[in-house]
Amino acid sequence: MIEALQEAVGWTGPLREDVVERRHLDFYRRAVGDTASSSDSVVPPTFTACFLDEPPSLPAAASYGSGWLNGGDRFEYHAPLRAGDVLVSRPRFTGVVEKSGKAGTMALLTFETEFRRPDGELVVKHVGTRIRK
Amino acid sequence: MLPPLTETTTLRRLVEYAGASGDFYEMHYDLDFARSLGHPELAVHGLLKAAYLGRLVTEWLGGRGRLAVLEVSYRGMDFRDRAHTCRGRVVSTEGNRAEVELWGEDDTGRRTTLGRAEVIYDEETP
Repeated sequence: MIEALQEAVGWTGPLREDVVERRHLDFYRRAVGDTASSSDSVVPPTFTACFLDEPPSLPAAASYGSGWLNGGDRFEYHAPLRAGDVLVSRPRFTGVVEKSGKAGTMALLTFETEFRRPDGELVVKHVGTRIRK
Repeated sequence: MLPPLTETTTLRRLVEYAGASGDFYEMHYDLDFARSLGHPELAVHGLLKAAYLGRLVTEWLGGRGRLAVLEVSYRGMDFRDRAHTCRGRVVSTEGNRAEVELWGEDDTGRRTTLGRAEVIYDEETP
């Protein structure tokens, strides 16, 4: 039922604080096949995906469909990110629409996460579309 | 055109990505779980395909500028052990900003991943 998801719009996930660690960067680069760059100062543009709530922990999601699919991701870069930086974030469930198509009926959920430095400076904004089906 | 990038995502790679990203959704490494959801095989994480497209752009850009926006839309699933090729082309340039069209193809040429990027060059390009 889509109603439970609609009522949950505005939900915020766990507040988290993460450090961009060199060892973590090395693991991530290997996982995405990046064997060329090893510079400490270069953080891959999708690295903040590691600090997302995936799959979303939104409790109301269990009321709709049986599994998750990823519909899309948008990263906006506002300030440089380097090893050693600290990022504070909290995912927010901002909207849901129901769609019917060849593949059946599904719910498209939008989550927004702003990654900020402890002083409040916005570094990366992420918008994710996640599908329950 | 940007130089293309081809990656074949193995089970090992899927497990490495799950560990590095913290996304332990079982459909990416537990075949019984994936099949229980109706998927024929282990699917590649959407955000791993986004990472490949991000690499395509940053490796092409080199030190000439920076990425302002990376946007990816998943139109079809990609499965393990199948080659996925990322491609891109600059569609417009204005001042020191450029708009890049991105896509990823499976090994049959089907565009399963569509995207775009906005880049800002350090110096204005003629």
